[in-house]
Amino acid sequence: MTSAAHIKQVLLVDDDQNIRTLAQMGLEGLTDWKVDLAASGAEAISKATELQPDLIILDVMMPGMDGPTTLSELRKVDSLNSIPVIFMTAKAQTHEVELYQKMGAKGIITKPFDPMTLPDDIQGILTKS
Amino acid sequence: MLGEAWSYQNAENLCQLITLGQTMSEQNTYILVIDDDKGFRDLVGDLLKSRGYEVVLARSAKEATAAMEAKRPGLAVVDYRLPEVDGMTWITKVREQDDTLPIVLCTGNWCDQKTFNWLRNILKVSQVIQKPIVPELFLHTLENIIPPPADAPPSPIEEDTGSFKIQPVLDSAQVEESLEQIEKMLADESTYPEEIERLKKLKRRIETQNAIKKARETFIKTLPDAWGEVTIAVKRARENPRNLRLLQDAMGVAHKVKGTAGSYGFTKVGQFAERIEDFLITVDPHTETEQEVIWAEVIRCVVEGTQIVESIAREQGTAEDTHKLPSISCLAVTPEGAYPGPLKGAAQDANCELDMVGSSVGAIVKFGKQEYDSALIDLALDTTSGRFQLARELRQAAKRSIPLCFVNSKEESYTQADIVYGGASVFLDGDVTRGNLSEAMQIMTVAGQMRRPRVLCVDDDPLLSGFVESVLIPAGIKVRSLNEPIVILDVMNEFQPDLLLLDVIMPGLTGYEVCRLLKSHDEWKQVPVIFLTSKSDSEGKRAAFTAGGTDFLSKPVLVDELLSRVKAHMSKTLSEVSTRVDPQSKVLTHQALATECEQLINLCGQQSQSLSMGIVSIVDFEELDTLYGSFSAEHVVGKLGELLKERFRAEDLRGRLEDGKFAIILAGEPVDTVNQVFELLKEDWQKMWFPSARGNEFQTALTFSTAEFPLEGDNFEKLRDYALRGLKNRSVLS
Repeated sequence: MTSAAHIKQVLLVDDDQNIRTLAQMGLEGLTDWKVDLAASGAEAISKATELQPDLIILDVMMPGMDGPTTLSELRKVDSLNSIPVIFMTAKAQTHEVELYQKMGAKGIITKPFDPMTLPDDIQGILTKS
Repeated sequence: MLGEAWSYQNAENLCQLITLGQTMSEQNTYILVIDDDKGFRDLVGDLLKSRGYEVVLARSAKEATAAMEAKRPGLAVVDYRLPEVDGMTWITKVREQDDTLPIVLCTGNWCDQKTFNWLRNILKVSQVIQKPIVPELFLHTLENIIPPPADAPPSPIEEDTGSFKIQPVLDSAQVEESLEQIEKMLADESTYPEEIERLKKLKRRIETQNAIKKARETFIKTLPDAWGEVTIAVKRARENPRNLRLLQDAMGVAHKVKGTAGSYGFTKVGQFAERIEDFLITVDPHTETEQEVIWAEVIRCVVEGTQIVESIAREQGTAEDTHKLPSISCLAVTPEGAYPGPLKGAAQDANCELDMVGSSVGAIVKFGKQEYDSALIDLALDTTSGRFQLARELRQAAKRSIPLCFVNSKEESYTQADIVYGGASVFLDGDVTRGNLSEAMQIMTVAGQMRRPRVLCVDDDPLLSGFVESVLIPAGIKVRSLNEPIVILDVMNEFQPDLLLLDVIMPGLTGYEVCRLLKSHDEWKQVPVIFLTSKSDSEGKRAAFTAGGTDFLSKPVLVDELLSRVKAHMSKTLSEVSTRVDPQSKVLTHQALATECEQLINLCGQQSQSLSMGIVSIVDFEELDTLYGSFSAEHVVGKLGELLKERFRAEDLRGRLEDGKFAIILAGEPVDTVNQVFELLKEDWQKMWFPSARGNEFQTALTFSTAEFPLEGDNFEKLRDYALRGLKNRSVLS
């Protein structure tokens, strides 16, 4: 349904500024994607509404609204309903991966990640699903 | 014909090979691999097959011998440890009949020099390779011994334009240059369209990686704080074992550092954070049992993580601060528990990296292991034979005149000549405070800024090392040549080079193996390595970088290229180096001494200070070779140079005027001090014996004379000539 070739606009959500910077560098540096950033679940929803991104990368552990909650909120909004979401987490045990996939995530990027291979990792996830 | 243990499958392989062998050209590309580890056998087998070699695998010496009898291979790859008959024994047996078969020995341990010499010289092993092998380097090494068949499939290496090229380029601080190069190629109309696509990609990668590298530098600054948060959170949780919220906080902070630090490439920090998080998860606030064990693990991870974070921050700090604040490392040799507080405070104030030791023996051991820029010696610990002997021994270990500070805690009486001769740039009499210690460290920092950069050249070809020396030494770089790579670690410890030039092809050990060894040692990891390679093709380059090299130079090496690469990679700038050293005595040459002395005279003139020159002359220097055999004079000169460097303050000048005549220059001291100093020098010199060609030992006498600025001259030449005239009038023998 979604292939990497269609992606123009990405929304990256993480409460850690260092992670946002690093991931944005890797993605914008190596692809032609435009990467916008959000620091919280709430900000993610408002930015997503405004930008209508082709992909959302969502940190799992965030203060306040965490990743999974944000995803279920996104799913409630008609216009955001079908945007593919990839989770980013430092904890990726098998049962969690399954859980997130059941929630409708395309896949998981494990932290720590390598910014230089991040675009490839994402493309890999999108191709697989 | 085949042994009993010869497995059916291998026999079948062999038959196939024999048939193949008949159609093969004269070049023998048949390789015998002997290892009892199936994983290793298969890995090597597949690797070699991928390059078109014919391979036969043997599990033991017995199988190997059988295979040898069936067909002589062009090369044998042998494991050191084999069941029943070990690798070395097998090779010994093979050599009884076959003296020319190239053999590569794989071993899990870095062998000692004796074993290595045996392997290389007696058993004629072509190369010793460390396990675990790096596939590409392994192939590369083997291909240097027997080239793959002409119709071999192209190396898989060629296709990959991935990260390997980019990383070294960035490390070598040549980003601008390589980007320029790419721009040029892009602008070139003859470049193929596919090539342009590839170049554009490469350009983006380089730029991105460069940006990430900069972001990483910024991140390092925040790392100590982030880790501090982990420490505090863990501490709070530990102190309130029943507070679930604090426990979760601690997990959260550790979790964050795990993801962030790891992503920025600080894998170890990330791993410790992960372990902290994992242990914290198992903490159960509702029970008491086994909780202590878990907390002990958590605390251990915090402590170890802190050490790593500190070392990262320190490295970063020194790398950035070299231009602004000079920093100095100092070993304080003080009685156990004596003024550690003031010392630590002073080190902080003076930006000094402090290490402490409680005995003179401990100090010498530490100096042998690690390089310190300076030392602080409490004279209460200077109990070895002779006055200020510890200072001398530390300088012997350091191989240079490091700045020293003496603390006279026993309040014994010393003359100014004692202090100067002993080498104290600073002498603390009486109370020791944070203030005067910090001042002492600052003075030592200034006194010790004359360290010359060092290059170690590892090459079995003396011609090449000679060439390297002839280029680098005049540029103010200290060069050591090593023709025996097996002793690399000893030489690294002793010489402490700032950069390595490493030949790729050497008998017995490749430069790759040497480099891999160094990169596996924390203390040598950072030393840049430039490979000298006769292959400039992409495989050679790739292998050089895979092995951990920083850069490579193709042979024949060009003067300009060598100098500019070495300079580019040397961490310390060479522009500050103005000293030229006399090769025999290792003190300044006449010319260098004159230049440095003029500067000191100017300085003393401005501050209305006195300055004294002392000339030391070896009596009957011209006769020494005739009397005691060739090189006697050279030997004596070397020893006198050493003594002059081990004694006197770091800031004092020592130089060789000509032949047996040396000069020392003491700023701020009257001739009286010099005269007294000579008495001390004479004492030391009288203890020195030199071997003669006849087998017995001999001694030499010294004569002295002095000149003082401004009374006896207002420049170097006048002072020198005045003192030399004084020398002629004297006939005092020691």
